[in-house]
Amino acid sequence: MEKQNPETPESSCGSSVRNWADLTHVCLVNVFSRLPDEDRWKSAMFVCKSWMEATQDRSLFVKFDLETVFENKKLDRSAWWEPEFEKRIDRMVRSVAEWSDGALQELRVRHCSDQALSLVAERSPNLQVLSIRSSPNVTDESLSKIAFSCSLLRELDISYCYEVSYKSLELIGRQCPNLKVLKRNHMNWLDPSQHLGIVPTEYLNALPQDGDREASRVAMYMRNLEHLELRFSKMSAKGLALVAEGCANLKYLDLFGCASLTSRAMEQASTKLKNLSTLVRPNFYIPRALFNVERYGHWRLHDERFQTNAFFQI
Amino acid sequence: MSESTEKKMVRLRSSDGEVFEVEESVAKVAKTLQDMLEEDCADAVIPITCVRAPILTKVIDYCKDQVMISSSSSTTNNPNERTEQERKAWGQKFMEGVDSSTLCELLVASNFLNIEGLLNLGVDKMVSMIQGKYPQEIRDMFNVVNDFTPEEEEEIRNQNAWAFERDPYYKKRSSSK
Repeated sequence: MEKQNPETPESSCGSSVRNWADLTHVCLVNVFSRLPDEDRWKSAMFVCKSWMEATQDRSLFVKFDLETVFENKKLDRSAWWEPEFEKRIDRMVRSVAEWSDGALQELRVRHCSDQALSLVAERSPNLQVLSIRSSPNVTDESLSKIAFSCSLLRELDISYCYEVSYKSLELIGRQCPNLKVLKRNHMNWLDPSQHLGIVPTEYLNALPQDGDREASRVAMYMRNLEHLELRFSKMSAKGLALVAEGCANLKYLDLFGCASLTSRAMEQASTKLKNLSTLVRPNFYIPRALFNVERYGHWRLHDERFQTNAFFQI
Repeated sequence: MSESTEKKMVRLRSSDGEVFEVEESVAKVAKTLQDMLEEDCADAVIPITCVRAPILTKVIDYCKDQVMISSSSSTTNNPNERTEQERKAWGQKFMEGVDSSTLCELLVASNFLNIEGLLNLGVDKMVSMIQGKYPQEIRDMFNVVNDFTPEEEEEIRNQNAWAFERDPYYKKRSSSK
């Protein structure tokens, strides 16, 4: 009498036995989702085929973030600027784009190239966050593909990517109306000592000069921006005035090291930006030998410009 | 009233035929069993065809503990009877001495029976066992056969190498393991 009704439990358990492989796959994916990237890429992937399949499950690639590894101060940073390293990062990025199978929403790497980024654009219509700082070989070519394919983009970090021009800013601004965060920082050209021996000198010298043109595109096409970083940009008071006019929703504005901005320009911008809660002023230290002090006769200006010796870390 | 004093019992049969009698509240910690019981097959012996007796014993131990915590916390009116730290320590103790094959079976069982807490304990245990190990160490630990040909392995290594592998810092770290 008691065993009249075991049909449902019996059959449901039976079916899970038939799908034993799936079950293990689900378990493995669960395990790998809590395993650091390094262990996934260096060990788990090589254990056997079913483990490899699990490490490449698309659900594990909604987000791919190497920033914590890049931030490790113990690593050899100069090696990152060699072509060999870029190739290695590119391979990882290409794999991530393929495995994620469209699921990728957040990608944070450095030192990738146009080729890998083009594949990301092609495969990742759901991309919302893209951070590719310090990628000397990323150009407008791949970023235009990103602009056309990834219209959900909400955060973009193209700091220290000197081959990217105002054209990309315009395209991204036009195509990605959700863009809230833009980071377009430059290296400290006022005192490059911190970069010497790491970043190739010719790259340090290739710093984009058209800060105003970039600022005008930001102002014109990225009107919904809330967070903007332009450290060490060569933008002038004119560029800043455009930004203050165009990006009325800005809450955070970082202008550290923008040597061409006067305190008056800063004042005008900050009165215009009603929602601004954080404003990082250009305060920096200029070795006196670099500048003719006579040019800055006005004492307030002088005072403003020579305030601190805080350096910007990359 | 009489129902609450007389505890309802449920019988579970493991894959190797052993029958366990547990209180309904204990069985109900497993979401899969809860669903079955609510569909009213409470009088039948529920076959758990993919879980062996020693594993089912461990699973039931876990469920009993869960019932104990929830009942004691409701009577003393102190929901935080066991702090986060104590819970962690308890979990660690529960998983202590669990070897890799038991762990795999526990994972399968908690996944099938849908016991989230136990699944999490198992997954965390497995993560801690894998972390920082070489592929061969992992294979030995979990008794996994390497089914790659050397060529295939080389191919994956070429296509998907960890970009920082050549960094002296990582080299130093892995050689010191």
